[in-house]
Amino acid sequence: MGGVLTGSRLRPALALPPAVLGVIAGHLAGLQPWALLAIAALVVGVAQQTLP
Amino acid sequence: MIIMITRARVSGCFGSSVVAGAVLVLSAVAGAALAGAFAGFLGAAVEPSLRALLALIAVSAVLVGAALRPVPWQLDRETDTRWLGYQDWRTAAYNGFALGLGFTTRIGFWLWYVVPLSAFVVADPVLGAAGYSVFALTRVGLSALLTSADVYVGGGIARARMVADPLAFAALAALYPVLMPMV
Repeated sequence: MGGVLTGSRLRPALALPPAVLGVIAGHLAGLQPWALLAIAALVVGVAQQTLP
Repeated sequence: MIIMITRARVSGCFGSSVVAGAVLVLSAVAGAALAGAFAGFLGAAVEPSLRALLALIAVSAVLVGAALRPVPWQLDRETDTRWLGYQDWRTAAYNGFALGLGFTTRIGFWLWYVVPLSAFVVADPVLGAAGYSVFALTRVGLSALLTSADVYVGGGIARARMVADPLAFAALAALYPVLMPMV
């Protein structure tokens, strides 16, 4: 499973759906930059626990 | 991280791993607050239209980079191992500061770029510092907690990217509706 997003050919195609969802969320839900900052900070802080 | 806290405890931190951990976390928050405030200050220093244009260029570049390769642009290194030689509070302080800044070592995830980019877009030094500090508290605070509980999270970066990468695409793209009307 982990290799799906690492495949160089599939990756751009897989990036599209979440990007479209992001645009919709930003446009319709009025997602603010400070909220993105807080969410990204939290998630990447947790994800970085897996760094070698 | 485990080595850093252990070594920091040896001397100069009152022989306490709690003090060493506190120095580590506080230094990380200080570094993060400085970086976030700087990004917010830069955003506030330019005209909104120029800020939006610069941010759009940066967001687009990161999106393209993230769509092409799983490993982000980063300095592929750990914190300076010479800091271990100090064997006092400086080991924890320097290590914490570097980890709080984020970009001086491996970042591992494209999602990290959302932090400085959105701090720049927010254009408020206080909000930028607060948001960046959330990153440092999570990154280093959680590390210190896991270390104190003798829990080591090894590997799993590919699985973590399965969550972080789609979120990075979504978060970066969510900035477009905010920035486009400002240009």
